[in-house]
Parts: sequence; structure tokens; C-alpha cells
Amino acid sequence: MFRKIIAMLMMSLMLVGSAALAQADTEADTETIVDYRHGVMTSLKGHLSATASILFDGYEVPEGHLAVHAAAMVGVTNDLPALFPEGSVNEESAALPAVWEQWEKFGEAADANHTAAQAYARAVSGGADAQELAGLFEELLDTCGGCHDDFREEHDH
Amino acid sequence: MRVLFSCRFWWAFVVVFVVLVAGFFWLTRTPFVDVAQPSMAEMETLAAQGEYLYDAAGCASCHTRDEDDAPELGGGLPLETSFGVFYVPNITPDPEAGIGAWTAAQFVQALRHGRDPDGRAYYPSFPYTSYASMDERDMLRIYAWIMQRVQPADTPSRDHELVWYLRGSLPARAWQFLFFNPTQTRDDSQDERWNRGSYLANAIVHCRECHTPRNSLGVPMDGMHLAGWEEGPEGETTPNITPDEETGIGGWSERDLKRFLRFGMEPDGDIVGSGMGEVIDHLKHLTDDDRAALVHYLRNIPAVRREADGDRAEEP
Repeated sequence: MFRKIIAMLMMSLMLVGSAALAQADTEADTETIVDYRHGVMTSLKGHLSATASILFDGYEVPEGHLAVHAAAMVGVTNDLPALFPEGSVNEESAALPAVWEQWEKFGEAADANHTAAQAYARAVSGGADAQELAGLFEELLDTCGGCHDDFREEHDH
Repeated sequence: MRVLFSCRFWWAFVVVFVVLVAGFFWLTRTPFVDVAQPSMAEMETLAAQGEYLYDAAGCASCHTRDEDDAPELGGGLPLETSFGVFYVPNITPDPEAGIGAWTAAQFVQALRHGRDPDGRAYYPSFPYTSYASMDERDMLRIYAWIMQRVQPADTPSRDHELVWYLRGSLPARAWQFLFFNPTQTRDDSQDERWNRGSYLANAIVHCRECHTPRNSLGVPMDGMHLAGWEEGPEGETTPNITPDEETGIGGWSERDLKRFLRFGMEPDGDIVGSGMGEVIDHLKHLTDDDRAALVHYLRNIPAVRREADGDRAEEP
């Protein structure tokens, strides 16, 4: 009888310990995922801001810079939903539950963003004039709002 | 004590009560609006000028539900506040469900005095408190645009769901009597660009309706113009947009502000979303001159040091 009680206690301890370890692993993963996601979005912000400086502030940059920014924006917007695995939220994340509750709609908004980035990049590599580039770039910026409006918690400016 | 039970006392009480009530209704009567109905040709001209103002005023932001198939200006959007839920009405030119039967004078009455065609007072959830400062001609331009260019929709407007003490027409009427005072947007000590910016910010774009904190009676707080509000639209905190360096946009350059108003792009390249994202969708149509005027105004109003989380403001 005594041995049975000890065995049950040990099994319980093992189960609880395993769950705690698994939980710790999940939390670490979430932190990494959110940090990576922030890094990707920060890089995208940088390319957007730099491009705006070129297209709208008239800043003259070495040849090829515009294409570099355009290519980077295409790259980081490719499959954005992959950066949002289920449950990847901590107190640092601004992703709203709607991301996962309306996954299909979120995917459509992300696709629109990537498609707009591709259209802009094609125009850059095709030598489009400043007016066309500005128009396509503004369309790209509009698609950013497509996700931020419904899927991101508003934050202090 | 015997007096309180006397007939004479109660008759005097009734007379005084009736006089007070009559006096209240007389004092809060709907002011007469002397605006001639434009001719068809005038309406065409006004409508052509009205789209710009209609966009800047953001009518569609509130009066159109956030659904793909929602009719423009068809109403129905719920505005959740601490006073209950306000359901934004249908203002399409539908003669039954919308404002299609309204005259120009009635439209001006709504914007300038916050009264519907029957004289009922609107709640300040409808920003007539800002629109009242609009030029009459601009009101007519928006009227013409709506009547001539927006499609009628027969969606009936919903009744508001408010706390018990705000139901009926009297509370809104009393609020107007006590607190409604149209903003004077012009300051002759400032240059014309500032005054244009002030007109845009305060009468058309109505920034203060979201960005100025209000007291428990819904009255914008003195001395806190555009200092941010922790109970903004949809329960979101709206930021301090005064030029305070620490809590406002004082650290933003002129270029930063212009970019923000045109693209919704913050200084670090982030693109704003949510409520302000919708506002940017309308503000992006501003002319370069108007955008510059709005920026000039925002950079030259009193700075208010206030974190929009309820901290008490200090003197700048």
C-alpha cells in the first residue's frame, strides 16, 4: 500500500514537472517569435521611411538604393502570416486576437500587402517614372493599414 | 407647516414650475436659420466643391458601417461610450430613412445648432460642436455633395441605447443650453496660414472631438485642447497632439507631420491603423497648402504636458 502511494506521488511529480518544463519551453519560443516579428516589422518600417525620403523628399541616393529597398520590402512581406503562429502573443506583442480568430481575413490583408510590394518593386526595376512610383508606393502604404486597422492594438505615437 | 398643505401654496408652486419649464423651453428654442434653398444649378456647383470638404470632415468614417457591403452614409455604426451606445444614423439622401427630405436650412440647423428638423437636440456624440464653426457656404457644399452624389439607402436608423438619465430629448437640450458654445477658430493675432489650419482642425476635421479630454458630463476640458484622451473613440486612448516635447508631438518635425497626415506614416516609418487610420484615409486628399496649414497650426498651439492616461496636466 505504502509503495503504491509513493509510486503515485512520484508519477504526479513527474507529470507536473514535465508540464512546467514544456510551459517554459513554449514561453521562450513565444519571446523569440515576437522578438523576431518585431525585428521584421522594424526593418520594414525602415525601408518604408527611406523610400518615402527618396520619393517625396527628393533625397538623392546612390543608384540602386531604391531597388534595394523595394526588394527588401518584397522579401519581408512574403508570407507574413507565417510570423504569427497560434498563441504567439506576450505582453510585448500588439497582435490582436482577431489575427487568429479571423485568420483567413488576416491572410488576405497580408497577401494584399505583399502583392502591392511586388507591384511597386516591378515598377522600380522597370524604370517607371516618379509619379507612377509614388502612386504605387502609396498603394503599398494603404495595404499596411489593411492589417493595422483590424489586427493590431493601437499604441502611443 | 400649515402653509405647505394650503391650496394657495400648491397653486403658487404649479405656477412657478410651469413658468420655469416654459422659460427653459423658450431659452433653448431652436434658433431660426435663414438659408435659401439653392437652385438645381447652384446645387451642382456646390456639389462639385463639396467632395473635398466631405472627405476632410470624415462624414463617412462614422456614418458608414465597417463592412464591405455597407452603403455609404447608411448609418448603423455603434459608438460605445460611458453614456451608452450611440447608433450613428443614416444620412443618405433617402427621403424616408435618410435626410433626403431635408432642406438646406435644416442641414445647416443640424450642423450649426445641433438640432434636427423637428427641433430635437442632438447629443454631442454628433460633432456639431465642431461643425458649428464651419462657414455656411462650406455646410452647403457638403449638403449638396450628399444630396447629389451619394446613393440613397433605405436602412432605418437605430435608436440609441443610453443610460436612463440621458433618455428623451431633455438631457441633450439641457446639455446644449449649459455647455454648447461654438469655437471661434479665427485669431487675428495669428497669420492666415495658422487661421486656415485652425479652421481645418477645429471646424472641418474636428480633431478635438477625439483628442481633447472631456469631463464626466462630456464637456471638453478647458486648457487641454488636443492634449489626448484616454476614453477616445472605441475606448482607445487618443494621443496628445500638442507641441509638448515630452508628451505630445513637439519632437516631430514639419516633415514628420506632413508625412503622417498624408500617409499615416509615423517618424519611424510605422503606418498608423485603427481609428486614426480611417481619418488618414480622408485627410490624404487635403491639398498641399491645406496640409501645410494644418501642420503649421498644430505646431503653434499651446503645448500641454499630459500623458493621455489620466495624469494631471501641468502648466507648460
